[in-house]
Amino acid sequence: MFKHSVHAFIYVVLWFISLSYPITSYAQWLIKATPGNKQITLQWPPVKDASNYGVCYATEAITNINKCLNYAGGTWRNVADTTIKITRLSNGKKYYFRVLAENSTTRLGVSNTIAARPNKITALNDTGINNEQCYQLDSDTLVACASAAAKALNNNQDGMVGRDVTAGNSNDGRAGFSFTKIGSTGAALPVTASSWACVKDNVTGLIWENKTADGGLHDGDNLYTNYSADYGASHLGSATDASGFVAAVNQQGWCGSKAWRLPTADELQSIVDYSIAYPEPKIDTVFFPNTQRDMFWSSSPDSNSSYAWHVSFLGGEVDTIYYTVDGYGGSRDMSLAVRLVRASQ
Amino acid sequence: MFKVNPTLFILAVILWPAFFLSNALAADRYTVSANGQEVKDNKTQLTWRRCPEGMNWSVNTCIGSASAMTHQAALQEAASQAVSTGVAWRLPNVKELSSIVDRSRSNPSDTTAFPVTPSNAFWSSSPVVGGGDYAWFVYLDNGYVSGDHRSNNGFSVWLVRDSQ
Repeated sequence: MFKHSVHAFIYVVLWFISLSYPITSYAQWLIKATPGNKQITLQWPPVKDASNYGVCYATEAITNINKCLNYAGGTWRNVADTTIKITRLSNGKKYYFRVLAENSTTRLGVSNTIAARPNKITALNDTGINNEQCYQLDSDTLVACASAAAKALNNNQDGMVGRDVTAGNSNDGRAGFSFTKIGSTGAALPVTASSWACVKDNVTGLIWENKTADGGLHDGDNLYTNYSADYGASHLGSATDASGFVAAVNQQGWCGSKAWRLPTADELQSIVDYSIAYPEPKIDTVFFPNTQRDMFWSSSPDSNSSYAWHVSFLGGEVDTIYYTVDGYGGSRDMSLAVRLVRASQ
Repeated sequence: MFKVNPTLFILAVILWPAFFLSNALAADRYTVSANGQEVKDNKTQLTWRRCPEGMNWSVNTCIGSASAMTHQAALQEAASQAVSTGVAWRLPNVKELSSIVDRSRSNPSDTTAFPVTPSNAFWSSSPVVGGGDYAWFVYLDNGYVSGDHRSNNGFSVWLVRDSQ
């Protein structure tokens, strides 16, 4: 009897440990939330010996998963798999998610809490190539994508698929692009606004710095080097280096944010509009005026530390090398244009 | 009272983070299909063939050699694959091709998702507008994006489709 009580005592102690310990140590058990249109897909690494996962979601933070149903919008789902797609959610609304791993005898642990908003955002932008820019057999002349000749060659050409076909409204940006003008304090402005400081890309969710022609900090003619910790580190923070420009714009809290950074090469390429012919800048200049017809630095490092990737809004290329009549260069000490980006909230 | 083996329980509690750290590294951007022949990009929601045209997935890698062709042949190859498989394979556009490159590496994208990436230019479906006979290509092994004559018969093809 005494022995039994000792065991019972140990079990009670362990039970309390199991209640308190996971909250901190299981922070490494990270669930992942992928937003979709009116839905969120959760994924998590399998937990050894778990036969059931209890998924709690609510519209407020879930501090205690045992009280899931007490939270606003609190809903409980059980799954055996390590992923679940939760549908019928509202786009733009913030939902919190937390997962419990268990089997028939034991509660194995509780995940971190993660928040996500369902949205219609897809990660890739349209190229801009439109319904007049398709190929036909044995010709380099672009023809209407609806033509029988174009479809006969290939009926999934660039100009036949993508948002320019499914959402080709040009009021909010050319063809498949969709932009919102943002004021200097971060407020969304009507499309008719005559002055704006930033542009939100409604497809990628990225918010871009707009360039000016006023000789100030955001002037489109300003050029910057792109030094890094591995190359020219002594120049970091200089006003003529991209790092110093980022710091200055964040100091300013431009468009209500201090989260400005240099875009990756893919992010920069996302706003290239490939339907525009040389020598006009390959970007929607209605939303992005004062865009240099030349190369813009990205944050993407090259495998060679003295180089970084840049995107040309004159040609549309993504490259590390800079070709000139004198030869070629392109290392991080070249002065190129910079357009900063930040994620939307 | 819960029937728990205290020793195993304590071990499980202690080792718990290790399970997740190791598993978290494998669970990432790309999901390989059950038969190993396709890769879904969870970021872009595009599904890619595991191997370029001319190569075939076998056990754990792509075997054979990547086909080389003109831009027109690339469009025809994509159309022909779509018909023969009944799956809407297409030639990726220039932004789609660019999206699977990891530019910080000399070679190439994600080697688990794409074990073999020939150091070759890959045709996109995007024309160089105003560029005469040029179409856009991407070097998937390093990320260089530019245009070349569509008659160039040395470029490869990597097919993509929209995920369901």
